[in-house]
Parts: sequence; C-alpha cells; structure tokens
Amino acid sequence: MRRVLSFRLLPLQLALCAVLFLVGASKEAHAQVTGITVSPTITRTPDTDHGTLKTTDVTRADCDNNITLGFNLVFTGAVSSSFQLQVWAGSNCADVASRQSATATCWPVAAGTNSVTQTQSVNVTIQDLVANEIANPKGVTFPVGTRNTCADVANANLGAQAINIYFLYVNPADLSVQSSGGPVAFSVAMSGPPSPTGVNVGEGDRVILVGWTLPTGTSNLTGINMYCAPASTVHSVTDAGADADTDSGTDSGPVDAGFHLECEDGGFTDGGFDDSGDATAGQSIDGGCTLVPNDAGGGTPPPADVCPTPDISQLQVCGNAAGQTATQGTIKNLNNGVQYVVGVASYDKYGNIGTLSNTACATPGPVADFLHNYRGDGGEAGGCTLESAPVTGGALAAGLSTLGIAFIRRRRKGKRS
Amino acid sequence: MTAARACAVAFPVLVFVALTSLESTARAQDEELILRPRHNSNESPQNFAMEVRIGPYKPQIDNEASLKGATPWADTFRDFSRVLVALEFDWQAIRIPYVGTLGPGVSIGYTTMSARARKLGSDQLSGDTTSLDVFPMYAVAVLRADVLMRQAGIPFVPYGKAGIGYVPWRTYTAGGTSSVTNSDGTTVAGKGQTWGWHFALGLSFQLDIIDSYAAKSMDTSVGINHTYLFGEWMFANYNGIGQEHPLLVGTSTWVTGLAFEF
Repeated sequence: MRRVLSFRLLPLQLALCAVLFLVGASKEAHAQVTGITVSPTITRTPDTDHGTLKTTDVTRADCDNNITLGFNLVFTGAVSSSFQLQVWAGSNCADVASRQSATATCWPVAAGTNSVTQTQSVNVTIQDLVANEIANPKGVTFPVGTRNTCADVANANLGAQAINIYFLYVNPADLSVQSSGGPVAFSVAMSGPPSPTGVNVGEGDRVILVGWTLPTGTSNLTGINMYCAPASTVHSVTDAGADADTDSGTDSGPVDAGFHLECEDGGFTDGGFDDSGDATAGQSIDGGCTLVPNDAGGGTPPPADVCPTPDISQLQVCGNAAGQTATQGTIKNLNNGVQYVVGVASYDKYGNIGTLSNTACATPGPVADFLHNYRGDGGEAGGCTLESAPVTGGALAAGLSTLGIAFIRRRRKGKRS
Repeated sequence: MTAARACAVAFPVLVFVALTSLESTARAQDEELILRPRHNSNESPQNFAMEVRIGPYKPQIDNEASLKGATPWADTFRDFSRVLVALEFDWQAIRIPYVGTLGPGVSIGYTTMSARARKLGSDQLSGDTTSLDVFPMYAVAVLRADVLMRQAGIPFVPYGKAGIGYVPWRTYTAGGTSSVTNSDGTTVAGKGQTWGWHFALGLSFQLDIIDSYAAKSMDTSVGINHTYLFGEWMFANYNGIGQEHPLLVGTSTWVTGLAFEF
C-alpha cells in the first residue's frame, strides 16, 4: 500500500522538480548588470605636468610618455563570469556593427575580462587610445597587432579629434551589450598646427627681429615659438651624408663648408645661443662641440653667408609670440657678431608643436640708434633713470587727488543747493 | 641732491599746497559770498573742465648748445613733427567777477617717433628700429575769460595757462632702452626727464550755440554745461629747470581739441 502511494506521488514529484528547475533558471536569467557608472575622477600615471589642460585632453607628449589613464567603475546588478567587460574607443561603440563590421568605427583599448567585481578599476594607455585613430577598418581584437605609433598618428595631421571611451558589459557569444558605461569624451590632438612660412629676419643690437606669414585656416594655433642657435653649432639636415643623430655620444656629422662638429654628450641640442659667440675652428663650443675643419689642417669657420638648414631638434626656443595673429617677434639677448640660424613653429593649446618653418640667418650687431647719434654729436643728456617717476606719479596723484576731492565736494554742494 | 632731483621732490609738494590753498580760498570766497554765483540758476553746477588735445609736436632737441649745430634728432628721425595727444583736467576753483574762472589744471600727453636704425659705422639700414617716447606733463594755473560768453552771449572764450612742465622720455631699440658707453667706461642710459615752464594762450569756440537744445539736454542728462572747440598756442619751454644736462624735449606748437565744462 505504501509502495502504491509512492508511485502515485511520482508525477507530483516530477512536477515539483520541474518547478524548482524553472525557478532556478529564472533566477539565473535575472542575475544581470543593469548599469555601469564611471567615476568622473580619472587618474594619469605617471602624473606628468599637464598644464591647464583637462585630464581628458590628450597631447602628443602624453602619447610619447605613454600615460596610463585610470578609471573606476561601479556595477549595478549582479555580475557574472559568463559576461566580459570590454573597453572600446571610437564612436557609437555600443553597436555591434561599430566594433565588428568592415566599417567599424571603434577599436579595443584594453583586454576584456570576465572576472569583474562590483567596483572595478580599468587602465587604458594613451598609446592604445590613439593606436587605431588612423586605421581603417578599426575593429580588431586587443591587443592590436600592428599598432600605429605616436609619430604615425601625429604625422597624419588629424588635428583635434573627439574620441569616446566606452565600458561595455558584453555577452561573448553574440557580442551584444548587456550594459554600458560612459562614454567618456576625450579630445586628442597629436600634431601641432601648420607652421608659418616666409620667415625673414632683421638684425639689431643683440637682437634679431623675426617676421613670418601665418598659415591659413589654423584656428587651433595659439602661438608661435621662435627657435635659434648659432649657425656654427648646427648642421643642415639636407647635407649629403649628414648625421641625423642629435645627441648620441661623439658625433662627427658633416656641416657646411668643409667643417664638422665633434661633440661630447649633449652636443648638438645644446647650442647655448647666448654665450657661444666666439666659435672658431678648433675651439670648444657650448655643449661640448668643437668645430673642426674636415681636412684637419686648420682653416677658418664657415663663411658667414652660408646659412645651414637644421631640423628643430638642433635649435632652442629663443622667444615666443602668443596669440593667433602675431606675425613678428624679437629674439633678445644674443651676441653681436655671431651668425644665428632662426626658424619658427606654431603650437596649439595642447602644447603640440608643428613642423619647423623655413630658416634664415642673421648676425646681430651694434646699431646707430638715436642715443648713439645724439651723444656722438656732443649731446649731454641721458644717464638718468626713471627712478624719480614715482615723484611724477606723486605730483599727478597729489593734483588729481585734490581735484577729485574738490570734484566730490562741489558735486555734493551742488546737490544740496 | 641735484637741483633737478630737489625740484622733482618739491614739485608734488608745491602742486599739492597750491591746489589745497586754492581750494581753501575758493571755499572762503564762497562762504563770504564775495563772488557771483558760480553758475546760472538754470544750469547744473560748473566747477571743472576737461580737454582732449591733439597737435603737432617737434621736440627742440637739436637746439642744444653742446651739439654745436649738429642735428642728431633730425638725422635719426627725419625733420618733421609728430602727433601729440593729451588730456587736461582743470578745476575752476574760483570765479572772478566780470572776468571768468581761475584754477589749477594738470595734463598728461604722449608722443613718439621712430625710424630704422643704421648699422654702426655704415650707411646700411639694420633690421632694428630706434624710437623716442616723450610724455609731456604739466601743472598750470588756468584763466578762462568767459565773461563775454556769459554776459553778452558771444560764443568765444579766450584763456591762458602758465605753470611748470615735467617730461619723462625714453629712447630705445627692439632690445630695450638704449645705452652708450663713455670712454671712461661709464654707461649712459637713454632715459630721463626734463623740467621746464609751460605757457599757453588759446581761444575756445562754444559749440552750444550750434544746437542749444542738445547742449541743455547734455547738461540735464550728464552735467556737461558747455562744450568747446579750441585752438591754442602752446610754448612748452622744457629747458631743464635746475638741470645740468636736460634733453630739450620742449616745443612751441599749436594744439586743438574739444573741451568740456562740467
């Protein structure tokens, strides 16, 4: 009788098992992530000087320094090891087509991970962020096989690009997105503005006046750097056989007119424009370079009318003209009698520097200014300083104060009357 | 202390004392009702004047005796006048019956000249410029004889000014303030200041008569009683009061502009 009862309950037991199975499956199905919050605080490692730029501004220097960006995510809902956190850059990356089709607009910037916690940290390097900026198609698996270098992207001259970073919680089976965080918008500028043209120079007393023609259509230009170096300390990059090495031990790269520089470490790039006015053959030049005739049999320095065409790495920033409209500037504190090679380059608000303009040479020298002419003709004035200017200011202040007091009194009196 | 420096120190004190005493005098006169009312009953109070001034300016640097006829200023900058722009502010502290107003005034002006500098020892022009900035300033007593305008409606106001001038100047190139090294190794900087006397005579034409309605409206709305167009001969005799070696930056010239009484 008990056995009969047992068999009679079998269908009920099976039904109960089925119910329990379905309830369990349903619970599994409802264990999902419903949101990803990205903390607005983004870290930079190493934390190099970023000036007044925002954390979301990316420059060529950031790429060269391979800055790592750190993000903190908070997941809402239950995470599962069967899903993967993926980080993509580009636009509309939540769409599968933006990540996988032939016309993909996104690229991965970090390895996907299945071991996700409710609060998750994610690191993205700037080199990975910009790696596929110029690639097409972009959608590839991480890490990118042949990644573009910083120079590749910079040379593409893309200007300032808006790149978004997406944090996607993806089902690996069909690449569908269960939930997403972000996008976090970055402004990536890897190359400087086009450089001015038509650089011309004028010579003054310990100064060189530099003029240039601004490039057209350069709204991202925020200023012009003026570069210079004593002509005797640089070499033309177009010289046959010129050694492009700028700072690597002893360098015997040829220079113009049958001379070459022999440098110790720190040579070419440290021309010391302010104190190298006595560069002659066989003499040590600032930075450990020595100008040596190629025939090693003595000789004279390069003729003054030879103007080398160095690259920007051989020159120093000798002045600056801020603003979008400056077309001239003055390089000061030079040495008279020394031939300098001068060029200019644009920079943008991100600090990216464009290519060097054409270069020109000038030799500062004393000028017959008004004071020189006046004193030379027998004039005796001058020599005073404006230290007594505050006295003038005091006189004016006294006068104006008294007049001001009178003004106020009269006005008050006028109102009373 | 040199005479120039003593003068420089004394100048603000004198100006302050003079202005303060004038103010006291005016107040006393007001209180004693010696003078006529200082404004017409249908006008807002009038106590001040401001002039916006412009005129040619050619400093008399080449008149310096030690130059012995040489003309370094003209040789450097070419021999023509530059433009002077200036502002003057007057306090019409007292009104003299049947004459006009009398009071102190101060002014600050600016003129500059520049030219391409030649390379030293050569006739070849350099890329540099040489410039001279001059800041003529003066404190004067101003007498404006507006009795004819007030009593007879004649729209002309003659006036005169006399006082002391003070002129900072600086000569420079692109590299900064010029300097010259003497044979004894000392360096002379291209900046200084010159003191002198300042005189002027002028005639103002009252513009109110052109549009009396607008003139009254301006008085009602912003308190400007009268507007003038003026022409003035100015003798800026800045020859260095008590100075050993002044730069003669004064001039004798005419000036024109607009004046406002308020």
